[in-house]
Amino acid sequence: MAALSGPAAWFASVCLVAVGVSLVLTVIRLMRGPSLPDRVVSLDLVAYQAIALMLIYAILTGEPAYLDVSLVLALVAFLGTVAFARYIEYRSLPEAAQSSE
Amino acid sequence: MLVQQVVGIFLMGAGTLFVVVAGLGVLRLPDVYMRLHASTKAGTLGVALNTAGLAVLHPALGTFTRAAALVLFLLLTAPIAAHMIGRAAYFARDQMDVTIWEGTIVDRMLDHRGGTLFASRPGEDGSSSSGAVS
Repeated sequence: MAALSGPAAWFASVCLVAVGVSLVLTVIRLMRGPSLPDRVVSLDLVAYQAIALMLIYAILTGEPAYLDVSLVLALVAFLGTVAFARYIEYRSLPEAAQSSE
Repeated sequence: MLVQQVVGIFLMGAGTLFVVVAGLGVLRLPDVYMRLHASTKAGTLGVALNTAGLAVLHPALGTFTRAAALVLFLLLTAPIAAHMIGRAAYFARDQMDVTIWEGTIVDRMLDHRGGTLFASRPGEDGSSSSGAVS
């Protein structure tokens, strides 16, 4: 499990910065998003980008332990997205159905 | 050793490219459904390619197993999550102020559900409203 060195480490650092820039773009959409589904979509992508960030950092430093963290993060992101989708769909019901449920 | 490094770095670079494209698409596309398309497909492929790069660059049995588990889980859950959000955004678009791109010319769901079914849905959780009508 050797860490990268030389041009490979340099390229991995560039990839890290690129994913960070794309994370910033997604957070801009998260703050600006005109509706709640927009924000849920960008939050989902933020989790994916955090996973990608951790994987590239694991490649750079030679620490495969980050793979466990990304596995857990994928699980939590899926649960959060499903919960938000259930909430949004629940809001689409008529008022009488919402109060009786 | 060198071939392994080149392949791994190439996979990592391709994955990064796809993740960046996903972020760009989520910021720039005009519509919830198009943003969903960018985020789900490009994001999943990017993370999967990054995971493959990690597995190639640091070969060990534990790394292979966890990388395969991560990719399998991602491929299993990403379409489900995208489908649930898209469906919820479609049915709750009045409550959530979801707007659609003005260049949209067809709504296939409108043909399938009909006007009356959507208006007079009983108080269920909505899981049987679209599949029952042919």
